[in-house]
Amino acid sequence: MKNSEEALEKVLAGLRDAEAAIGMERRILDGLLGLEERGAARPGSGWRRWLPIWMVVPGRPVAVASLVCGAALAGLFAVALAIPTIRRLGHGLVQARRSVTPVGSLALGTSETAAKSARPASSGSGVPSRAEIKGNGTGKVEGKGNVGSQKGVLGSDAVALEDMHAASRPAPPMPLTEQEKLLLRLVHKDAPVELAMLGPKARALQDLEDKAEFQRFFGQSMKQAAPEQSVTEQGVPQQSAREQVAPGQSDTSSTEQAMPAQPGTEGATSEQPLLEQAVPEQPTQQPSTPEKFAPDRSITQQARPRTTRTTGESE
Amino acid sequence: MTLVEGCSLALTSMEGVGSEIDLAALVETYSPLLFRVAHSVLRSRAEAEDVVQDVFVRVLEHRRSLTAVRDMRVWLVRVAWNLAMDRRRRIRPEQFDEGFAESLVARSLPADEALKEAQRLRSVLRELERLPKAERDVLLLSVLEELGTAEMAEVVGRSESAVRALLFRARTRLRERLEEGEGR
Repeated sequence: MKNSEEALEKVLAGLRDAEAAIGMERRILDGLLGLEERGAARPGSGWRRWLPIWMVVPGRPVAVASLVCGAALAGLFAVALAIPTIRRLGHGLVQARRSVTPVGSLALGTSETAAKSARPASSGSGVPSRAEIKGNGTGKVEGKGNVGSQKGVLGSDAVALEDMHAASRPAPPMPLTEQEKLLLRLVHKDAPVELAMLGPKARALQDLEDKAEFQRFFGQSMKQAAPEQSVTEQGVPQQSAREQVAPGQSDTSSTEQAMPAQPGTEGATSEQPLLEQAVPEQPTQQPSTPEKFAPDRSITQQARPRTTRTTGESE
Repeated sequence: MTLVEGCSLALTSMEGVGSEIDLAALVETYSPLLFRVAHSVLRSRAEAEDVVQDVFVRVLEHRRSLTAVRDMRVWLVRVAWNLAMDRRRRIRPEQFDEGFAESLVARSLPADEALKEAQRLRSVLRELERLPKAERDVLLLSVLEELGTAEMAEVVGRSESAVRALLFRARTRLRERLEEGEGR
């Protein structure tokens, strides 16, 4: 008990007799003087010392504070007004970018406007185009993404519904391939002339012309080759053979093979000569019937000069 | 007595000059008292000195309204007390107890006895901290032996009778606890 009393008295005496360090007053005064000098340089005290000097001037703070508050409120109001506009602009930019995006890209950025612009082109043919389909598809996706563009979504939905309820039409005919175009060009070459040749009168007239030409040619050649006996010996049986063939006009195969280059003269059937024109003659056709052509060997020999004659005429 | 005379002189000089304050006289007169007030709360010399400086900074800030202060001494003690309490919330006085207790131990004592004495003083300070806040405040202000009951009541914001009762209870409680601790 005595110890505790002593200890308590000792502690209280220590608290009572605590003395400041030597020179505390001087330090405090120096600090205060420095603070006063700084205060003279900058008016105001406390938090005001950190304010600009034009805000601390007596009488002004209330007006300045009201001005600052007003400016802050005006700024907030302006920002609140600007936010929807900025959002709208940003949405428009995004839509414009999507409409510019190429068709093949994964973004599929065609917007409702692109779908509408593509619609008249497709309505002419009656078949919805790819751009229209993609436009409709992306319009739905866009509507899911942006709540604010409900108008655009409704428009694209309407376009999609119209397309869905439209009457179905057959697909347009496929374009011809290059081979088909070539075949058509070959088949329809000089078609009216060939059809006319199917008539017996025109055909007989043509035969007569051919004969006259033949005679004319071989007549001249016989005169020129008169000294040469061998040529004349060959030329007489040729002429007789030709004369034997021509009146009957039954041996069409021999005439066809003898004069293959004349498209107008040969025409017993309508399709075979045309195909012969389209496809060049195969040299293997002649030896296919050797026993038939064996007696007409002279005719084939006569046919060769005829080609030279035509070339000579063309020259 | 000399301190009281110094205070009255300072107050007289302030009233004579009007709004002008003799700051040097104020510091010379009141800084030891303010230091003890702050030190009783914080138990650290450096912290107490900072509190005294802050008190006079407040004086500078309120120098235009100081003429309305009725009792400059009590006003300064109250400012120092409040500033010390604010600082006490940021620092823990217990961390300074060891140094303060060692400074109270007589240097003539042997080391082992000095150690025991320091431990006993630390336990007293610990029990002092465990007191209710109002009792502790009144006890610490009364320890200074420079403030009357009315002045203490003005500083802590209570009536004089309440201050007396608090002071009585604080001393009794502290003594009992110390005896209990010694019995264990």
